[in-house]
Amino acid sequence: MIRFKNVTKIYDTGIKGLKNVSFSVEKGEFLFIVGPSGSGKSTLIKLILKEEEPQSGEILIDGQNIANVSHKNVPYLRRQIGVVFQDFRLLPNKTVYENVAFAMQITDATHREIKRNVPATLSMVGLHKKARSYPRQLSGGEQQRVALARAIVNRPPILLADEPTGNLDPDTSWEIMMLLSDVQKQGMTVLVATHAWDIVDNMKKRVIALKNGTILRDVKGGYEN
Amino acid sequence: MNFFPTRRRFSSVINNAFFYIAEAFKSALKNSLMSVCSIITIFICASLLIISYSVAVNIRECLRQIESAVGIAAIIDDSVPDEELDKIYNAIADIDDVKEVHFVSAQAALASFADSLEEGSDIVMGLENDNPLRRSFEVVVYRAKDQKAVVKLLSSETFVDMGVVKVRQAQDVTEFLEGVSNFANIVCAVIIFVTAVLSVILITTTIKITVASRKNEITIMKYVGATDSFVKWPFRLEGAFIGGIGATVAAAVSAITYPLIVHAISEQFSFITNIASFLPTEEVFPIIAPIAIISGILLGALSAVGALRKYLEV
Repeated sequence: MIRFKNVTKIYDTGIKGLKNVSFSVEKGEFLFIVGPSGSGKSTLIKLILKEEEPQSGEILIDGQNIANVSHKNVPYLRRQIGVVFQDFRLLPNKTVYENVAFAMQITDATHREIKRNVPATLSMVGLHKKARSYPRQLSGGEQQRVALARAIVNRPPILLADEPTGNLDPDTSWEIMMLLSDVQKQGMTVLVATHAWDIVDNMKKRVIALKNGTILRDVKGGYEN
Repeated sequence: MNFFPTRRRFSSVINNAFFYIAEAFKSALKNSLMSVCSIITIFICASLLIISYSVAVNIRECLRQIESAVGIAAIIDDSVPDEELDKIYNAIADIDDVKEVHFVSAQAALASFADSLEEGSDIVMGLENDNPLRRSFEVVVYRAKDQKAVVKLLSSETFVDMGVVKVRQAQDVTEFLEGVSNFANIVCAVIIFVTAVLSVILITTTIKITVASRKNEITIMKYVGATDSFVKWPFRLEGAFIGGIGATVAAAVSAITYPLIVHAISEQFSFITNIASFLPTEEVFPIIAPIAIISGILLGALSAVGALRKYLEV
Protein backbone atom coordinates (compact mmCIF):
# COMPACT_ATOMS: atom_id res chain seq x y z
CA MET A 1 0.00 0.00 0.00
CA ILE A 2 2.75 2.45 1.00
CA ARG A 3 6.32 2.08 -0.13
CA PHE A 4 9.34 4.27 0.56
CA LYS A 5 12.31 3.62 -1.73
CA ASN A 6 15.59 5.27 -0.74
CA VAL A 7 13.86 8.44 0.36
CA THR A 8 15.98 11.34 1.57
CA LYS A 9 14.57 14.61 2.82
CA ILE A 10 16.83 17.57 3.59
CA TYR A 11 15.26 20.77 4.88
CA ASP A 12 16.35 24.25 3.80
CA THR A 13 18.24 24.61 7.08
CA GLY A 14 20.45 21.68 6.06
CA ILE A 15 18.91 19.32 8.58
CA LYS A 16 18.34 15.83 7.22
CA GLY A 17 14.80 14.76 8.06
CA LEU A 18 15.18 11.31 6.48
CA LYS A 19 18.26 9.64 5.06
CA ASN A 20 17.88 6.97 2.41
CA VAL A 21 14.86 5.37 4.10
CA SER A 22 13.20 2.32 2.56
CA PHE A 23 10.28 0.31 3.88
CA SER A 24 6.87 -0.84 2.79
CA VAL A 25 3.50 -1.18 4.48
CA GLU A 26 0.98 -3.75 3.34
CA LYS A 27 -2.69 -3.06 2.92
CA GLY A 28 -4.56 -3.31 6.22
CA GLU A 29 -1.37 -3.34 8.28
CA PHE A 30 -0.88 -1.42 11.54
CA LEU A 31 2.54 0.22 11.85
CA PHE A 32 4.07 2.22 14.68
CA ILE A 33 6.82 4.68 13.80
CA VAL A 34 8.76 5.46 16.93
CA GLY A 35 11.77 7.54 17.79
CA PRO A 36 12.88 10.53 19.81
CA SER A 37 12.10 14.10 18.79
CA GLY A 38 13.85 14.99 15.55
CA SER A 39 14.19 11.37 14.45
CA GLY A 40 12.09 11.91 11.31
CA LYS A 41 8.65 10.65 12.34
CA SER A 42 6.77 13.81 11.42
CA THR A 43 8.87 14.20 8.26
CA LEU A 44 7.72 10.78 7.13
CA ILE A 45 4.06 11.74 7.72
CA LYS A 46 4.52 15.05 5.86
CA LEU A 47 6.10 13.29 2.90
CA ILE A 48 3.15 10.91 2.57
CA LEU A 49 0.76 13.90 2.73
CA LYS A 50 2.91 15.70 0.14
CA GLU A 51 3.29 18.61 2.51
CA GLU A 52 7.03 18.20 1.85
CA GLU A 53 8.91 16.85 -1.16
CA PRO A 54 11.87 14.45 -0.87
CA GLN A 55 15.21 15.36 -2.37
CA SER A 56 15.63 11.82 -3.66
CA GLY A 57 13.88 8.48 -3.70
CA GLU A 58 10.32 7.47 -4.43
CA ILE A 59 7.18 7.28 -2.39
CA LEU A 60 4.58 4.95 -3.83
CA ILE A 61 1.01 4.74 -2.64
CA ASP A 62 -1.01 1.91 -4.13
CA GLY A 63 1.76 1.51 -6.70
CA GLN A 64 1.59 5.15 -7.84
CA ASN A 65 4.54 7.49 -7.40
CA ILE A 66 3.09 10.50 -5.58
CA ALA A 67 5.81 12.72 -7.06
CA ASN A 68 3.67 12.65 -10.20
CA VAL A 69 0.69 14.14 -8.35
CA SER A 70 0.52 17.83 -9.32
CA HIS A 71 -0.21 20.58 -6.79
CA LYS A 72 -3.80 20.95 -7.93
CA ASN A 73 -4.42 17.21 -7.46
CA VAL A 74 -2.87 17.00 -3.97
CA PRO A 75 -6.33 17.40 -2.38
CA TYR A 76 -7.45 14.21 -4.16
CA LEU A 77 -4.43 12.37 -2.73
CA ARG A 78 -5.21 13.66 0.75
CA ARG A 79 -8.81 12.48 0.49
CA GLN A 80 -7.44 8.96 0.34
CA ILE A 81 -5.53 9.55 3.57
CA GLY A 82 -7.20 10.31 6.88
CA VAL A 83 -4.96 12.28 9.27
CA VAL A 84 -5.02 12.75 13.00
CA PHE A 85 -2.68 15.33 14.54
CA GLN A 86 -1.33 15.83 18.02
CA ASP A 87 -3.08 19.20 18.34
CA PHE A 88 -6.38 17.84 16.97
CA ARG A 89 -6.74 20.66 14.37
CA LEU A 90 -10.49 20.95 14.52
CA LEU A 91 -12.32 23.86 12.92
CA PRO A 92 -13.14 25.97 15.98
CA ASN A 93 -16.28 27.62 14.62
CA LYS A 94 -17.95 24.37 13.61
CA THR A 95 -19.73 21.87 15.83
CA VAL A 96 -18.57 18.29 16.21
CA TYR A 97 -21.10 17.21 13.57
CA GLU A 98 -20.02 19.99 11.19
CA ASN A 99 -16.33 19.19 11.64
CA VAL A 100 -16.89 15.60 10.62
CA ALA A 101 -19.42 16.49 7.90
CA PHE A 102 -16.90 18.92 6.40
CA ALA A 103 -14.66 16.03 5.40
CA MET A 104 -17.58 14.57 3.43
CA GLN A 105 -18.69 17.93 2.05
CA ILE A 106 -15.39 18.45 0.26
CA THR A 107 -15.78 15.12 -1.54
CA ASP A 108 -19.13 16.21 -3.05
CA ALA A 109 -21.05 13.77 -0.85
CA THR A 110 -24.81 14.22 -1.01
CA HIS A 111 -26.77 15.55 1.90
CA ARG A 112 -28.28 12.10 2.39
CA GLU A 113 -24.86 10.42 2.51
CA ILE A 114 -23.65 12.95 5.06
CA LYS A 115 -26.72 12.50 7.24
CA ARG A 116 -26.20 8.75 7.17
CA ASN A 117 -22.44 8.48 7.66
CA VAL A 118 -21.62 11.25 10.11
CA PRO A 119 -23.83 10.04 12.99
CA ALA A 120 -22.64 6.48 12.40
CA THR A 121 -19.01 7.56 12.61
CA LEU A 122 -19.63 9.65 15.70
CA SER A 123 -21.24 6.62 17.31
CA MET A 124 -18.21 4.56 16.43
CA VAL A 125 -15.95 6.94 18.38
CA GLY A 126 -18.50 7.32 21.18
CA LEU A 127 -19.42 10.95 20.56
CA HIS A 128 -22.92 10.77 19.11
CA LYS A 129 -24.25 12.72 22.11
CA LYS A 130 -21.79 15.55 21.55
CA ALA A 131 -22.74 16.26 17.95
CA ARG A 132 -23.85 19.81 18.65
CA SER A 133 -20.95 20.74 20.90
CA TYR A 134 -18.09 22.96 19.79
CA PRO A 135 -14.47 21.85 20.14
CA ARG A 136 -13.86 24.31 22.95
CA GLN A 137 -16.55 22.52 24.98
CA LEU A 138 -14.79 19.14 24.74
CA SER A 139 -11.96 17.50 26.63
CA GLY A 140 -8.68 16.69 24.88
CA GLY A 141 -9.67 13.05 24.47
CA GLU A 142 -13.03 13.99 23.02
CA GLN A 143 -11.45 16.41 20.60
CA GLN A 144 -9.10 13.70 19.40
CA ARG A 145 -12.04 11.37 18.90
CA VAL A 146 -13.68 14.04 16.73
CA ALA A 147 -10.45 14.36 14.76
CA LEU A 148 -10.40 10.60 14.33
CA ALA A 149 -14.04 10.57 13.21
CA ARG A 150 -13.26 13.26 10.65
CA ALA A 151 -10.28 11.25 9.43
CA ILE A 152 -12.25 8.04 8.87
CA VAL A 153 -15.73 9.25 7.84
CA ASN A 154 -14.87 8.89 4.14
CA ARG A 155 -13.46 5.38 4.76
CA PRO A 156 -10.03 6.24 3.35
CA PRO A 157 -7.69 3.31 2.67
CA ILE A 158 -4.92 4.90 4.78
CA LEU A 159 -4.98 6.54 8.20
CA LEU A 160 -2.00 8.52 9.50
CA ALA A 161 -1.73 9.62 13.10
CA ASP A 162 1.06 12.01 14.08
CA GLU A 163 1.56 11.81 17.85
CA PRO A 164 -2.18 11.34 18.42
CA THR A 165 -1.76 10.92 22.17
CA GLY A 166 0.84 13.63 22.67
CA ASN A 167 -1.54 15.94 24.54
CA LEU A 168 -3.52 13.25 26.36
CA ASP A 169 -3.32 11.46 29.72
CA PRO A 170 -2.39 7.75 29.76
CA ASP A 171 -5.94 6.39 30.08
CA THR A 172 -7.27 8.56 27.28
CA SER A 173 -4.21 7.74 25.18
CA TRP A 174 -4.98 4.05 25.51
CA GLU A 175 -8.60 4.63 24.46
CA ILE A 176 -7.48 6.48 21.35
CA MET A 177 -5.04 3.74 20.41
CA MET A 178 -7.80 1.13 20.83
CA LEU A 179 -9.95 3.13 18.48
CA LEU A 180 -7.11 3.20 15.97
CA SER A 181 -6.78 -0.54 16.33
CA ASP A 182 -10.54 -0.92 15.69
CA VAL A 183 -10.16 1.18 12.57
CA GLN A 184 -7.38 -1.08 11.35
CA LYS A 185 -9.57 -4.14 11.90
CA GLN A 186 -12.05 -2.62 9.46
CA GLY A 187 -9.44 -2.82 6.73
CA MET A 188 -7.62 0.51 6.83
CA THR A 189 -3.87 0.72 6.73
CA VAL A 190 -2.83 2.60 9.86
CA LEU A 191 0.49 4.39 10.52
CA VAL A 192 0.99 5.91 13.95
CA ALA A 193 3.99 8.11 14.71
CA THR A 194 4.49 8.19 18.45
CA HIS A 195 6.94 8.08 21.31
CA ALA A 196 4.45 6.50 23.72
CA TRP A 197 6.66 3.45 24.25
CA ASP A 198 4.43 1.72 26.77
CA ILE A 199 1.45 1.71 24.41
CA VAL A 200 3.63 0.53 21.54
CA ASP A 201 4.91 -2.39 23.59
CA ASN A 202 1.47 -3.36 24.85
CA MET A 203 -0.14 -3.38 21.42
CA LYS A 204 2.42 -5.78 19.91
CA LYS A 205 2.20 -4.35 16.41
CA ARG A 206 4.90 -3.85 13.81
CA VAL A 207 7.33 -1.10 14.83
CA ILE A 208 9.83 0.92 12.78
CA ALA A 209 12.24 2.78 15.02
CA LEU A 210 13.87 5.91 13.59
CA LYS A 211 16.93 7.73 14.83
CA ASN A 212 18.51 10.75 13.16
CA GLY A 213 16.47 10.13 10.01
CA THR A 214 17.44 6.51 9.48
CA ILE A 215 15.70 3.25 10.31
CA LEU A 216 17.21 1.68 13.38
CA ARG A 217 14.93 -1.33 13.63
CA ASP A 218 11.92 -2.78 11.87
CA VAL A 219 10.30 -5.43 14.06
CA LYS A 220 6.94 -7.04 14.51
CA GLY A 221 5.17 -7.77 17.78
CA GLY A 222 6.17 -4.65 19.69
CA TYR A 223 9.40 -2.67 20.14
CA GLU A 224 10.85 -4.77 22.94
CA ASN A 225 10.37 -7.96 20.93
CA MET B 1 -6.80 4.57 -5.57
CA ASN B 2 -7.60 7.67 -7.58
CA PHE B 3 -5.54 10.83 -7.17
CA PHE B 4 -7.46 12.78 -9.81
CA PRO B 5 -10.74 14.63 -9.81
CA THR B 6 -13.78 12.64 -10.83
CA ARG B 7 -16.66 13.94 -12.89
CA ARG B 8 -18.90 15.96 -10.61
CA ARG B 9 -22.60 15.45 -10.37
CA PHE B 10 -24.72 18.50 -11.11
CA SER B 11 -26.46 18.06 -7.79
CA SER B 12 -23.16 18.26 -5.95
CA VAL B 13 -22.30 21.49 -7.76
CA ILE B 14 -25.61 22.93 -6.52
CA ASN B 15 -25.03 21.53 -3.03
CA ASN B 16 -21.60 23.11 -2.94
CA ALA B 17 -22.99 26.45 -4.10
CA PHE B 18 -25.45 26.48 -1.19
CA PHE B 19 -22.66 25.36 1.11
CA TYR B 20 -20.39 28.20 0.00
CA ILE B 21 -23.15 30.79 0.50
CA ALA B 22 -24.05 29.39 3.92
CA GLU B 23 -20.39 29.27 4.95
CA ALA B 24 -19.86 32.84 3.78
CA PHE B 25 -22.76 34.13 5.86
CA LYS B 26 -21.85 32.06 8.92
CA SER B 27 -18.25 33.12 8.70
CA ALA B 28 -19.13 36.81 8.36
CA LEU B 29 -21.38 36.54 11.42
CA LYS B 30 -18.92 34.54 13.49
CA ASN B 31 -16.09 36.95 12.71
CA SER B 32 -18.41 39.89 13.19
CA LEU B 33 -15.80 42.30 14.50
CA MET B 34 -13.57 41.92 11.44
CA SER B 35 -16.62 41.95 9.20
CA VAL B 36 -17.76 45.26 10.69
CA CYS B 37 -14.25 46.72 10.27
CA SER B 38 -14.25 45.66 6.63
CA ILE B 39 -17.74 47.05 6.05
CA ILE B 40 -16.77 50.39 7.61
CA THR B 41 -13.63 50.54 5.46
CA ILE B 42 -15.58 49.88 2.30
CA PHE B 43 -18.29 52.32 3.42
CA ILE B 44 -15.69 55.08 3.81
CA CYS B 45 -14.03 54.32 0.49
CA ALA B 46 -17.32 54.08 -1.40
CA SER B 47 -18.53 57.31 0.20
CA LEU B 48 -15.34 59.10 -0.85
CA LEU B 49 -15.78 57.82 -4.37
CA ILE B 50 -19.41 58.99 -4.50
CA ILE B 51 -18.54 62.38 -2.99
CA SER B 52 -15.66 62.89 -5.45
CA TYR B 53 -17.90 62.01 -8.35
CA SER B 54 -20.74 64.25 -7.13
CA VAL B 55 -18.39 67.18 -6.69
CA ALA B 56 -16.85 66.58 -10.14
CA VAL B 57 -20.14 66.41 -12.02
CA ASN B 58 -21.60 69.39 -10.16
CA ILE B 59 -18.57 71.58 -10.84
CA ARG B 60 -18.73 70.56 -14.48
CA GLU B 61 -22.45 71.32 -14.62
CA CYS B 62 -22.10 74.71 -12.91
CA LEU B 63 -19.32 75.73 -15.24
CA ARG B 64 -21.30 74.53 -18.22
CA GLN B 65 -24.24 76.68 -17.14
CA ILE B 66 -22.00 79.71 -16.60
CA GLU B 67 -20.30 79.17 -19.93
CA SER B 68 -23.52 78.99 -21.84
CA ALA B 69 -24.76 82.19 -20.17
CA VAL B 70 -21.82 84.11 -21.58
CA GLY B 71 -23.26 85.04 -24.92
CA ILE B 72 -22.42 86.49 -28.29
CA ALA B 73 -24.13 89.61 -29.58
CA ALA B 74 -24.70 90.00 -33.33
CA ILE B 75 -25.38 93.71 -33.93
CA ILE B 76 -27.82 94.48 -36.78
CA ASP B 77 -27.46 97.48 -39.06
CA ASP B 78 -30.19 100.12 -38.70
CA SER B 79 -30.95 99.88 -42.44
CA VAL B 80 -32.22 96.33 -42.18
CA PRO B 81 -36.03 96.37 -42.25
CA ASP B 82 -37.91 94.63 -39.42
CA GLU B 83 -39.33 92.11 -41.92
CA GLU B 84 -35.82 90.81 -42.60
CA LEU B 85 -35.12 90.10 -38.94
CA ASP B 86 -36.85 86.70 -39.06
CA LYS B 87 -34.55 85.61 -41.88
CA ILE B 88 -31.47 86.56 -39.82
CA TYR B 89 -32.95 84.85 -36.72
CA ASN B 90 -33.52 81.58 -38.59
CA ALA B 91 -30.07 81.65 -40.17
CA ILE B 92 -28.44 82.04 -36.75
CA ALA B 93 -30.67 79.39 -35.12
CA ASP B 94 -29.74 76.91 -37.88
CA ILE B 95 -26.08 76.99 -36.82
CA ASP B 96 -25.37 73.63 -35.10
CA ASP B 97 -23.47 75.00 -32.10
CA VAL B 98 -26.10 77.58 -31.31
CA LYS B 99 -28.34 76.72 -28.39
CA GLU B 100 -30.53 79.84 -28.17
CA VAL B 101 -31.13 83.08 -30.07
CA HIS B 102 -32.88 86.12 -28.55
CA PHE B 103 -33.76 89.34 -30.29
CA VAL B 104 -32.94 92.51 -28.35
CA SER B 105 -34.52 95.69 -29.59
CA ALA B 106 -32.69 99.02 -29.43
CA GLN B 107 -35.00 100.19 -26.64
CA ALA B 108 -34.46 97.03 -24.62
CA ALA B 109 -30.72 97.38 -25.06
CA LEU B 110 -30.83 100.93 -23.77
CA ALA B 111 -32.96 99.97 -20.76
CA SER B 112 -30.63 97.08 -19.94
CA PHE B 113 -27.63 99.37 -20.13
CA ALA B 114 -29.36 101.90 -17.88
CA ASP B 115 -30.09 99.15 -15.31
CA SER B 116 -26.44 98.17 -15.25
CA LEU B 117 -25.35 101.66 -14.26
CA GLU B 118 -25.43 102.61 -10.58
CA GLU B 119 -25.42 106.32 -11.36
CA GLY B 120 -26.34 108.25 -14.49
CA SER B 121 -29.16 105.88 -15.47
CA ASP B 122 -31.51 108.87 -15.80
CA ILE B 123 -29.16 110.48 -18.27
CA VAL B 124 -29.02 107.31 -20.34
CA MET B 125 -32.79 106.98 -20.40
CA GLY B 126 -32.91 110.55 -21.61
CA LEU B 127 -31.33 109.30 -24.83
CA GLU B 128 -34.50 107.40 -25.80
CA ASN B 129 -35.20 109.75 -28.70
CA ASP B 130 -31.64 109.56 -29.90
CA ASN B 131 -30.79 105.94 -29.07
CA PRO B 132 -27.21 105.16 -30.05
CA LEU B 133 -27.68 101.44 -29.46
CA ARG B 134 -28.78 99.12 -32.24
CA ARG B 135 -30.88 96.03 -32.55
CA SER B 136 -29.05 92.80 -31.90
CA PHE B 137 -29.41 89.08 -31.58
CA GLU B 138 -28.02 87.54 -28.40
CA VAL B 139 -26.65 84.12 -29.25
CA VAL B 140 -26.01 81.40 -26.63
CA VAL B 141 -23.88 78.41 -27.59
CA TYR B 142 -23.86 74.93 -26.07
CA ARG B 143 -20.21 75.07 -25.09
CA ALA B 144 -17.88 77.99 -24.51
CA LYS B 145 -15.28 76.50 -26.79
CA ASP B 146 -17.69 76.71 -29.69
CA GLN B 147 -17.94 80.48 -29.38
CA LYS B 148 -14.96 81.26 -31.59
CA ALA B 149 -16.31 79.20 -34.46
CA VAL B 150 -19.78 80.77 -34.17
CA VAL B 151 -18.31 84.28 -34.01
CA LYS B 152 -16.30 83.54 -37.16
CA LEU B 153 -19.40 82.30 -38.92
CA LEU B 154 -21.48 85.34 -37.88
CA SER B 155 -18.71 87.59 -39.14
CA SER B 156 -18.66 85.88 -42.53
CA GLU B 157 -19.88 87.40 -45.76
CA THR B 158 -23.18 85.53 -45.61
CA PHE B 159 -24.27 87.26 -42.45
CA VAL B 160 -22.70 90.59 -43.32
CA ASP B 161 -24.84 90.60 -46.46
CA MET B 162 -27.89 89.94 -44.28
CA GLY B 163 -27.11 92.96 -42.13
CA VAL B 164 -24.85 91.85 -39.28
CA VAL B 165 -22.44 94.77 -38.85
CA LYS B 166 -20.58 93.64 -35.75
CA VAL B 167 -20.18 90.54 -33.57
CA ARG B 168 -19.30 90.98 -29.92
CA GLN B 169 -18.26 88.28 -27.43
CA ALA B 170 -16.83 88.11 -23.92
CA GLN B 171 -13.63 86.50 -25.17
CA ASP B 172 -11.58 86.78 -21.98
CA VAL B 173 -14.35 85.41 -19.76
CA THR B 174 -14.94 82.53 -22.15
CA GLU B 175 -11.29 81.55 -22.21
CA PHE B 176 -11.06 81.86 -18.43
CA LEU B 177 -14.05 79.61 -17.87
CA GLU B 178 -12.72 77.08 -20.34
CA GLY B 179 -9.46 76.99 -18.44
CA VAL B 180 -11.23 76.63 -15.09
CA SER B 181 -13.41 73.83 -16.47
CA ASN B 182 -10.40 71.90 -17.77
CA PHE B 183 -8.54 72.36 -14.50
CA ALA B 184 -11.55 71.23 -12.47
CA ASN B 185 -11.97 68.14 -14.65
CA ILE B 186 -8.33 67.19 -14.14
CA VAL B 187 -8.43 67.78 -10.38
CA CYS B 188 -11.58 65.71 -9.96
CA ALA B 189 -10.21 62.89 -12.12
CA VAL B 190 -7.07 62.82 -9.96
CA ILE B 191 -9.16 62.82 -6.75
CA ILE B 192 -11.30 59.96 -8.03
CA PHE B 193 -8.24 57.97 -9.11
CA VAL B 194 -6.41 58.51 -5.80
CA THR B 195 -9.59 57.61 -3.87
CA ALA B 196 -9.92 54.41 -5.89
CA VAL B 197 -6.28 53.43 -5.28
CA LEU B 198 -6.56 54.19 -1.55
CA SER B 199 -9.78 52.20 -1.44
CA VAL B 200 -8.10 49.16 -2.95
CA ILE B 201 -5.20 49.39 -0.51
CA LEU B 202 -7.43 49.86 2.54
CA ILE B 203 -9.88 47.14 1.62
CA THR B 204 -7.11 44.67 0.73
CA THR B 205 -5.30 45.35 4.01
CA THR B 206 -8.46 44.94 6.09
CA ILE B 207 -9.37 41.70 4.38
CA LYS B 208 -5.78 40.42 4.68
CA ILE B 209 -6.02 40.88 8.42
CA THR B 210 -9.33 38.99 8.40
CA VAL B 211 -7.88 36.11 6.39
CA ALA B 212 -4.66 35.99 8.43
CA SER B 213 -6.68 35.54 11.59
CA ARG B 214 -8.17 32.43 10.01
CA LYS B 215 -5.08 30.88 8.47
CA ASN B 216 -5.25 27.88 10.83
CA GLU B 217 -8.72 27.17 9.55
CA ILE B 218 -7.50 27.34 5.95
CA THR B 219 -4.59 25.01 6.70
CA ILE B 220 -6.89 22.46 8.34
CA MET B 221 -9.20 22.55 5.34
CA LYS B 222 -6.26 21.85 3.04
CA TYR B 223 -5.08 18.91 5.18
CA VAL B 224 -8.52 17.35 5.05
CA GLY B 225 -8.40 17.44 1.23
CA ALA B 226 -10.24 20.63 0.28
CA THR B 227 -9.29 22.00 -3.13
CA ASP B 228 -8.12 25.60 -3.47
CA SER B 229 -11.43 26.41 -5.14
CA PHE B 230 -13.40 24.90 -2.23
CA VAL B 231 -11.44 27.03 0.22
CA LYS B 232 -11.64 30.21 -1.86
CA TRP B 233 -15.34 30.34 -2.71
CA PRO B 234 -16.70 31.00 0.78
CA PHE B 235 -14.07 33.70 1.33
CA ARG B 236 -14.78 35.16 -2.09
CA LEU B 237 -18.50 35.31 -1.37
CA GLU B 238 -17.91 36.66 2.11
CA GLY B 239 -15.73 39.42 0.66
CA ALA B 240 -18.40 40.17 -1.94
CA PHE B 241 -21.17 40.31 0.72
CA ILE B 242 -19.14 42.63 2.91
CA GLY B 243 -18.17 44.82 -0.04
CA GLY B 244 -21.75 44.93 -1.27
CA ILE B 245 -23.12 45.85 2.15
CA GLY B 246 -20.57 48.58 2.76
CA ALA B 247 -21.03 50.11 -0.69
CA THR B 248 -24.84 49.87 -0.59
CA VAL B 249 -24.98 51.63 2.77
CA ALA B 250 -22.61 54.28 1.42
CA ALA B 251 -24.81 54.81 -1.64
CA ALA B 252 -27.98 55.01 0.47
CA VAL B 253 -26.50 57.44 3.00
CA SER B 254 -25.06 59.59 0.21
CA ALA B 255 -28.37 59.64 -1.68
CA ILE B 256 -30.20 60.76 1.46
CA THR B 257 -27.68 63.41 2.49
CA TYR B 258 -26.96 64.77 -1.00
CA PRO B 259 -30.10 66.93 -1.30
CA LEU B 260 -29.62 68.17 2.27
CA ILE B 261 -26.05 69.20 1.51
CA VAL B 262 -27.07 70.85 -1.77
CA HIS B 263 -29.78 72.76 0.06
CA ALA B 264 -27.36 73.87 2.78
CA ILE B 265 -24.79 75.07 0.21
CA SER B 266 -27.49 76.89 -1.73
CA GLU B 267 -28.58 78.66 1.45
CA GLN B 268 -25.07 79.58 2.56
CA PHE B 269 -23.67 80.50 -0.84
CA SER B 270 -26.62 81.91 -2.70
CA PHE B 271 -24.35 83.69 -5.21
CA ILE B 272 -23.61 80.27 -6.69
CA THR B 273 -27.27 79.42 -7.24
CA ASN B 274 -27.83 82.85 -8.76
CA ILE B 275 -25.68 81.86 -11.72
CA ALA B 276 -25.92 78.05 -11.77
CA SER B 277 -27.81 75.19 -10.16
CA PHE B 278 -26.71 71.83 -8.78
CA LEU B 279 -27.68 68.56 -10.38
CA PRO B 280 -30.66 66.84 -8.77
CA THR B 281 -30.23 63.50 -6.96
CA GLU B 282 -31.86 61.54 -9.77
CA GLU B 283 -29.22 62.76 -12.24
CA VAL B 284 -26.22 61.88 -10.08
CA PHE B 285 -27.02 58.66 -8.23
CA PRO B 286 -28.43 56.38 -10.94
CA ILE B 287 -24.92 56.46 -12.42
CA ILE B 288 -22.58 56.44 -9.43
CA ALA B 289 -24.58 54.24 -7.03
CA PRO B 290 -24.46 51.06 -9.18
CA ILE B 291 -20.80 51.75 -9.99
CA ALA B 292 -19.98 52.09 -6.28
CA ILE B 293 -21.93 48.96 -5.32
CA ILE B 294 -20.45 46.80 -8.08
CA SER B 295 -16.97 48.14 -7.27
CA GLY B 296 -17.51 47.30 -3.59
CA ILE B 297 -18.61 43.75 -4.41
CA LEU B 298 -15.73 43.13 -6.83
CA LEU B 299 -13.13 44.70 -4.57
CA GLY B 300 -14.34 42.66 -1.60
CA ALA B 301 -14.27 39.39 -3.56
CA LEU B 302 -10.93 40.00 -5.29
CA SER B 303 -9.23 41.26 -2.12
CA ALA B 304 -10.32 38.14 -0.23
CA VAL B 305 -8.86 35.79 -2.81
CA GLY B 306 -5.71 37.87 -3.13
CA ALA B 307 -5.21 37.71 0.61
CA LEU B 308 -5.81 33.95 0.65
CA ARG B 309 -3.19 33.04 -1.90
CA LYS B 310 -0.24 32.57 0.41
CA TYR B 311 -2.20 30.40 2.83
CA LEU B 312 -3.21 27.94 0.13
CA GLU B 313 0.34 26.62 -0.36
CA VAL B 314 -0.02 23.77 2.13
